[in-house]
This record gives sequence, C-alpha cells and structure tokens, in this order.
Amino acid sequence: MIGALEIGHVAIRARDFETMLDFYTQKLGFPEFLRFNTPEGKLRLVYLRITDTQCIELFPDAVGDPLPKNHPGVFHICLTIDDLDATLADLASRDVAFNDPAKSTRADGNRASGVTDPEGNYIELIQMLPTGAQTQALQRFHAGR
Amino acid sequence: MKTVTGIGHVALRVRDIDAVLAFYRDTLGFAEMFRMHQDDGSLWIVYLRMTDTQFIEIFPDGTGDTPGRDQIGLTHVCWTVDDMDAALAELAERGVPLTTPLRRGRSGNLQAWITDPEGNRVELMQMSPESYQLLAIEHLRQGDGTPLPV
Repeated sequence: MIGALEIGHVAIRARDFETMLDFYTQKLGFPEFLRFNTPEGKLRLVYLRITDTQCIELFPDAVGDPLPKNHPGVFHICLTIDDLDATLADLASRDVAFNDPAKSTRADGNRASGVTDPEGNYIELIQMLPTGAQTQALQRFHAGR
Repeated sequence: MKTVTGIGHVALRVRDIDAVLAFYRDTLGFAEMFRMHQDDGSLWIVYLRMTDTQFIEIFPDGTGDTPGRDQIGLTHVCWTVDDMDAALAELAERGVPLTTPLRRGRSGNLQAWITDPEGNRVELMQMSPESYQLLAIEHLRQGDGTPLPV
C-alpha cells in the first residue's frame, strides 16, 4: 500500500493491567506519555513510547487465556535493535529475563533475542546484519525497481 | 529500552495463507521479499515489506478462530498514513472496504479501519499536528518524564 508510511502502533490487551504497565514502563523502559479514560471515568488505554512515531497501546480488561502460538492472529512483535549487546546489558540491569542470543540464531542470519511479558506476549529483539536475509532481499528489491 | 530503533515486524499466524497473501501482497501491494521453510520443506514464514525497516511476517497453519478484540494479548496493528484521503482512495481503487468509517478520534487523529480476510483488524491513522499523541510526545521530551495530563 503506497500510502502506508509505517507500523505506527501495536495494541496489547492486558488482564492484569498494573503488572503489565509496570513491566513495559519500568522493566522495558517505554515511558507512558498519554492515557485516556472512558466517559464513565474508567481507564480506556495507555500509550507507551517506543519512538516519536511508534508506540504500544496498552488496553485493560482482557478476557480469556493467552493463546497458543499456532492460534490465528498477531502472535508476536519484533523490535529492531541497533546494538543487541547493549540492549541485553540494559535488560539484565533491570532484572529482565531474555533469550540467550547465542541460542537464538535465526535462519534469516540476524542476531536475535527476545523477552516474554507477564501475560505471555513475545517481543523479539533483532539486530539486523548486512548479511541477513532481510538486508539482502531489500538490496534485490531496490535493484529491481 | 536502549538502542531500540522501532517496531521491526509484526507476526501474523493465519489459517489460509493463500487468501491472506492475496490480500496483503496482491491487493494492498506489500512486496513479498523472501520465504523461509522448515527442515521438512514445509512453509515456515513469508516476509512482506512495509518499509525498508518494517516487515509483516505471515505464518501458515493457524488453527482456531480469530481472537475477539477483548482477547488477552496482541490485538491490532496500526499503519500510519500521511494523507488519509489518498489512502482511502487507494483502498477504494483496490476494492478494500472500510470496516469502520473514517472519523476523527478523541486523540485528534483521523482513523479508519480495514479487516483482512481472517478478521484481523488494521487501523489506519493520519496523525494530526494538534493531536494528543504528538502533544504528549513533545511534553515527554520537554517535561519531567510525566505523561501529558488529559
């Protein structure tokens, strides 16, 4: 779609809102910058900044149990990382558990890790490498234009 | 989180990958970049390009019903557009109906929704310069780290 600039946000529905908010703001370090309530004064959603143009929308009052990986729908998101070692050192200093990058070798050739939030949502962390499949495919894509 | 540059991809599990690829790739026009396969040769992931730094990962072999909007977990994705009129004209030309009509949200942004063939909802948003989001980002940048009071 020509008019789509970027993925601007991803929405997460939380069951235990305060635990999830604490994880994303205090552990992962995505600050809350805005929240809205319903006309009845009940929390509607909180916005967590990833970049100036990208955020996570965190909604309360989830129903059901976390779905298995093979269930249809959005089942994980990925954040692009400049320096995976620096990011993981930062996460370690905040006592956040993450996958061992040495055991997370990706078939696409990039360096990866990932964290799981308190309600089971997986956030992959990828440091794109010049030799990775994405970078190579993008070069072919632009060369063919 | 230190050194994060942005959302790199969103991964979607689907039941009917042909129908879903027909929608995102052929109808909406996100180029297929490459595929990866399992050791047994079966399809694992198809990568579609949104931008040079953002992809949609489509995984096959989903089983079950598409989650409702209140289901715990990741629920929807939003694509930012810079010209909503042009985006809606493009969608109309490509035969994609809006599932929620264009409106200005409480945040001050223009919003419209489409749905993929399996019922996954995608929000389209044109950020308005006076929207709460942009005011709040500026407040965060200049202030003491507290959220914008609304």
